[in-house]
Amino acid sequence: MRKDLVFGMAGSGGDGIVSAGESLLQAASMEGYHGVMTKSFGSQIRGGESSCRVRIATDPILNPGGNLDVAVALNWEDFLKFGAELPVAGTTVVIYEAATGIPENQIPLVGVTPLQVFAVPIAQMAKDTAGTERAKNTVVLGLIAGWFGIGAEAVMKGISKRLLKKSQELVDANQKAFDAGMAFAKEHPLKADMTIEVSKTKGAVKLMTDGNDMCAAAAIFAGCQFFGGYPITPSTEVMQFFTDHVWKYGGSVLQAEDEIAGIGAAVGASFAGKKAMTATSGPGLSLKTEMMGLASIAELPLVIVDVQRGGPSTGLPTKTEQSDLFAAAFSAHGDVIRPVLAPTSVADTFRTTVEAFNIAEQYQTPVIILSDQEISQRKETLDPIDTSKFKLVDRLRPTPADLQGYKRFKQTENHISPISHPGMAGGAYLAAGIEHNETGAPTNSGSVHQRMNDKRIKKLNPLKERRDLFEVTGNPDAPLALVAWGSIAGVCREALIMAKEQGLDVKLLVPYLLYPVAEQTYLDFFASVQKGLIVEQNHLAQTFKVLRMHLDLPAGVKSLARSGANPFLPGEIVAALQNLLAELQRSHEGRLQPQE
Amino acid sequence: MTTAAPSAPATNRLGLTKQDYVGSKSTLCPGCGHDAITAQIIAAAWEMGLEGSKVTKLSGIGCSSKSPAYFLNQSWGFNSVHGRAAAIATGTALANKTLKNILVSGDGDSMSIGMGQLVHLIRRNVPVVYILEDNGVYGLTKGQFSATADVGSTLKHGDVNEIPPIDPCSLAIELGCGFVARSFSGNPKQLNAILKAAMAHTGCAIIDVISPCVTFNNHDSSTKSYKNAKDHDYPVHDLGFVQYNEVEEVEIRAGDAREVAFPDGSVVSFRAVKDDYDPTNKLAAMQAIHASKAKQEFLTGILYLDPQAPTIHHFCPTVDEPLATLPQARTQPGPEALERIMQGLM
Repeated sequence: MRKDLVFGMAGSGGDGIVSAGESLLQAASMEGYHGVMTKSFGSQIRGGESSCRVRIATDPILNPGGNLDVAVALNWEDFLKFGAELPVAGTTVVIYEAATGIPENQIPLVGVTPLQVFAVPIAQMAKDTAGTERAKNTVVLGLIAGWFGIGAEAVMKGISKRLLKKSQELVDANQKAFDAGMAFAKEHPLKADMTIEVSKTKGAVKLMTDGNDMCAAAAIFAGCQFFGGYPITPSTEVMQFFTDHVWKYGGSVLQAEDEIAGIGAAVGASFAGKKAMTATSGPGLSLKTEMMGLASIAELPLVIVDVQRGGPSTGLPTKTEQSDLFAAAFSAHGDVIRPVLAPTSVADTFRTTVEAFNIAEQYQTPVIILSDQEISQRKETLDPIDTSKFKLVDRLRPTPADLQGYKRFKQTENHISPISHPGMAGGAYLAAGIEHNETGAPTNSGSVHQRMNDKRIKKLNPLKERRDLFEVTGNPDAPLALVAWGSIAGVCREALIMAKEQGLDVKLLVPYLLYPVAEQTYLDFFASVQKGLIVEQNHLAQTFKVLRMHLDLPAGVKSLARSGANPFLPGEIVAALQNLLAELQRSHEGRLQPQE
Repeated sequence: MTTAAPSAPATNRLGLTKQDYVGSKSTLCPGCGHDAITAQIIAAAWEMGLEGSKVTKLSGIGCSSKSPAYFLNQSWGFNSVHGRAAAIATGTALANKTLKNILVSGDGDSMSIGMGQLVHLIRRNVPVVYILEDNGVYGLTKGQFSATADVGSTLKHGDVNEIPPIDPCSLAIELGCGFVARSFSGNPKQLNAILKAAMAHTGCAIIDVISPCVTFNNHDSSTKSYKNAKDHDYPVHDLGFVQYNEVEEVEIRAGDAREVAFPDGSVVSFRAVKDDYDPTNKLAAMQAIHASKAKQEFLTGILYLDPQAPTIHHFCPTVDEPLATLPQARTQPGPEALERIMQGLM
């Protein structure tokens, strides 16, 4: 019996691999399992290779998992294109299309001997039962249900949910294909029992959603009623979901002519007095930078979602990376701080998005949500969100007294000035990209510029005191440490559990607030630390460098950074921690210590 | 300026004086055409009785874009970034349907860096009175050619423009704009009537106003000099504008005048100057503009008018109330709504 299974499947576009993954995850959510699904494609629009990973577990899981327990290849050429995204090991059961003609002892996986290999005539079985090869993915699901025990009924329900939109006949045909897969599994048993244990929360149905939908749902919940944006992979679904739902609450969406106009319209809606947002990915973030400067100096609340993908330029548009931190924190012209927040999972994308709107409104500033392709497009099962625990913040609006001789940019103790909107009699002012005095009148004065910069930067200081925007787990006095954000935080959370099982004394810091850098929070965290790793998915070690820019990291804290697309595995992080521990022990023993 | 004193009373229908519609003192060069346009914006807004708190004044960057500070102090200005005021205006208009939006831009701001935004503003028919103060040069950066400079026009120091210009009016007509006009900062009477008609228009009104740059483009060899514009200004009609609340009282002279009504009941009348000109005939308008261009004339007046063209509020359904003041109960999905969204995800 198993508590945790990782499935990886690949085929050509049109093989229905991703649909199969979705049905499997759907079944898992109906059976009360915890699940995560990621998809990966070539960048072709139709056809080309496509793959998905589905991880199903009885306990909560924090990432899409490491080596595959089950690998499904509808053809080897496509499977191999995903390389380290679908890692096969000695513990993997490999299932592949027999029509490929490759003998079971000659599969093209170099240097690996899988646990067990099955060549299955998948296409033939689909044709014989459902009358079409298009049911191949259903045969695969039958095999999976037969061998690994995820409720057959639930899996078939998952399939039906998808196919009923088309016709009942299609469901019946697929039932036969599914049964054939089940029967094949029964006739060819596994060497070891790999069926998954019954879920502890069987019967408690979970949501199944992805980060982009979660982000848009949270924005609507937060009272955002305007989205201006331009389609770009992998953020487009934020606009789609928002468009599908916001009209019910009076809001509207502008699919703009370009990235600049998208954020421009959002700035215009915020100027008109309403919470507004835009979403994009790396190249779009670059285009939006000038408008972000405008929102900063005009002190207009605004939320910008950047779903990171491999870059620069078009880069790896369908794959994940954490390489926009520099761009998010520093791509501004002029002296400015823009808060940058990062969710770490589909579930906490809701909280992070609500928080972004609250910070934008509270401090009258643009806020960037740095999501990534993995979080945005992976599907997770999760418990329904309890919205009663969220407090919503609206911008400080002027009182009738404020409107007597109204000063839009009035200097106040906390540097936040009441903000009026068109239509509010007495509140007229000139919003401007040009420097202005307290009333909003344009100025060239160096001393006014100094004072206004001071106001705009100092107003954000309280953010750095927000300890609730950081998560610390593990022994507070641990000598070993990990720091990670975004989707990599999930990998590190799981590495922390593995490391503890191996007896390592480690703690983990996950920042949800990436910028401004909350120096004291990091200093407190690192106080006990002798060795540590800043883990991130980019080549330049951007997080490591941003932290070093703001504080003195302990000499033993190193960077573990590499480019995107290929996942980090919890095991390799634990191995790196073991190395650090060995170094630490050597130095304690007084042996020659390597130069840091 | 030698504007004829308006025959209207000293206060408008809201009981406000013209002084209530002024702005800060202009910092543009003395004699700048833009200031003459500002004077007519003030006059038109006062005569129309616009409610200052429901007006936005949007602009990008450039000499022209500074001018919203010089009119309507009781209204909301937004001096944004170069070329993008159209995008800002689109968001503002979508968030608040009740506003009258006045956008002031220039030929650099509109015809070069902001071209992408302008054409989509027109295409979506966003309710904006778009005043393009057109002098053929970049004034703020001391006199480079803009994209509306005519072939053969020269800069102060002798550089000759050889690249064909973009004509904002024919472009706007081609894009389906329902209100396309050209005027001259030196013709306050015509400009005043055009501005008032534009303020009555419910969609996007594009007004290309030849506005000579007295500092960098007012020499004899420039086609956008005051003298050249004055000599080649060719008004296609005498315009009369009667606001809806005065239609009953004002008798429009019978005879050869055409009339077009706006949805609110206001009427604009066109009296032919020389040849008949039908401002509702798109193809004829295009033909007339091209013919005048060949003769190096500036055809001025309301060149094309279709007050019924559907606006962005038709394409992107919006609520009637401003979003900023919608009651919370309507804007925020309650737990039940969220529950429904979540059910959909199960």
